[in-house]
Amino acid sequence: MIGETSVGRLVIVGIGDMAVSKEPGAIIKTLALGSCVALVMYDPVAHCAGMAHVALPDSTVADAKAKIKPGYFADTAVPALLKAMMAEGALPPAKKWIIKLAGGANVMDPNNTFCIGKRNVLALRKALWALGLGPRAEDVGGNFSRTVSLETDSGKMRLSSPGRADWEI
Amino acid sequence: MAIPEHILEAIDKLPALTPAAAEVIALAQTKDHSLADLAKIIANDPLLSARLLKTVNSAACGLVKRIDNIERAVIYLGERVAIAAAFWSSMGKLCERPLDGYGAGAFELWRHLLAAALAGRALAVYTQDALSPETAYTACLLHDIGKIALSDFLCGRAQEAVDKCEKGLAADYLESEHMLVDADHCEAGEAMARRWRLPENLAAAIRWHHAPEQAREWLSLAWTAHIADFLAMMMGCGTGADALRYRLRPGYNQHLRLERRTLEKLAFEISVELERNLAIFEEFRNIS
Repeated sequence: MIGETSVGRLVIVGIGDMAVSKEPGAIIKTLALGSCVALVMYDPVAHCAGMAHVALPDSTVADAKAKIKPGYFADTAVPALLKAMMAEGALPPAKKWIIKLAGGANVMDPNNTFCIGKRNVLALRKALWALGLGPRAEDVGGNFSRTVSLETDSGKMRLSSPGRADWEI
Repeated sequence: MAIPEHILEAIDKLPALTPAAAEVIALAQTKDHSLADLAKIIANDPLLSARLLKTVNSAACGLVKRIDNIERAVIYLGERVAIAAAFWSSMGKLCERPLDGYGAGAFELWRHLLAAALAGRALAVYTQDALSPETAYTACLLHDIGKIALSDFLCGRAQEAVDKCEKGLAADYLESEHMLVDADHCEAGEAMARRWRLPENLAAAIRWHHAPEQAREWLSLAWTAHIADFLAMMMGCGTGADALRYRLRPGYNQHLRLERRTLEKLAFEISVELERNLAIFEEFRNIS
């Protein structure tokens, strides 16, 4: 979904979607992350910003869907977002980009069946490490939802959650 | 604990279910009903029938050939859409408005109820006593109705409720609600269910969806609503400040045979189904 803010374009990233922009003043935003994780990449030289809303750790759950919506799964989201960043004009090497993760809220479950949030974060780190990358900052876990926005101009990543003051990482 | 009188008075002032919605909900609890039975009830409500017919013939459904009778519309849309449509025709406006007391925006409650309903339906086959998918769907569609009544009393206090959870003063958001307004959304929901004369199994699932072990003869349904509620919140379909601030009750695996991989597959299937349902309801609600 695309809208307007007072400074520029607002791009809303839905579940499993990705967005990349280097348009001045644009904001990329994803709403109410539960166990899902926002994977954020920012090239500070080209001012190119990208975000994927990752819902599940492993694409083997639905291979066909992963081909259409690679942002849905951690293992496919990382290479797909890298590729989309490059296509938009982000400058290699990706090691110089700022990568951040936010979300992955957890449910306390002694059986570990419900720990999708934790597994999403681990799968994203693993997929990043496989490419020699790693997150510079993370705001993950806990038992609350997060809304994440990313500014293309500055790479600032703001977080909000109902009933809490907004914060930045 | 008894609900304070002023909250009960507010519940009394809420609109009642339409006869068609009450009948559809009751029918969904019976074992031998058919889609023809469902269509008959819907056909008696001209507004609901007209909306469903316009919806099934809208771009969201993409039919090549027009459908002109309600039974075929119900067959095409499916029982779950018909149940949710009947409920929406009674309570849609209330479910769509912002829940100020929870810091939730417009449509968040409706999205949560729909996601939980789809999760409940999918979870039904994993219950030990093979719960009817329609019963599970209905219970989960209704499980959080109490928030409609409680939201006004919690207005402007979401931060306070969150603080109580984060500082460990309340064990979860349910306890925060109690500390702030002497009632929680499960109790308020049960009071609404009684006022609407909903079947006993539904009233129990609404009342005990955060403490399913207390649901006595409706254990399976209450556990399904409990897990469906969590799944919806995990998928990002919460209702604001309270999202995920509840305790997953131990012992769910005695009632639902769930494994990690199954849960992930379910989460995926539910999110696909939710997108389709939201598109259908976008058409449905825009029909004047």
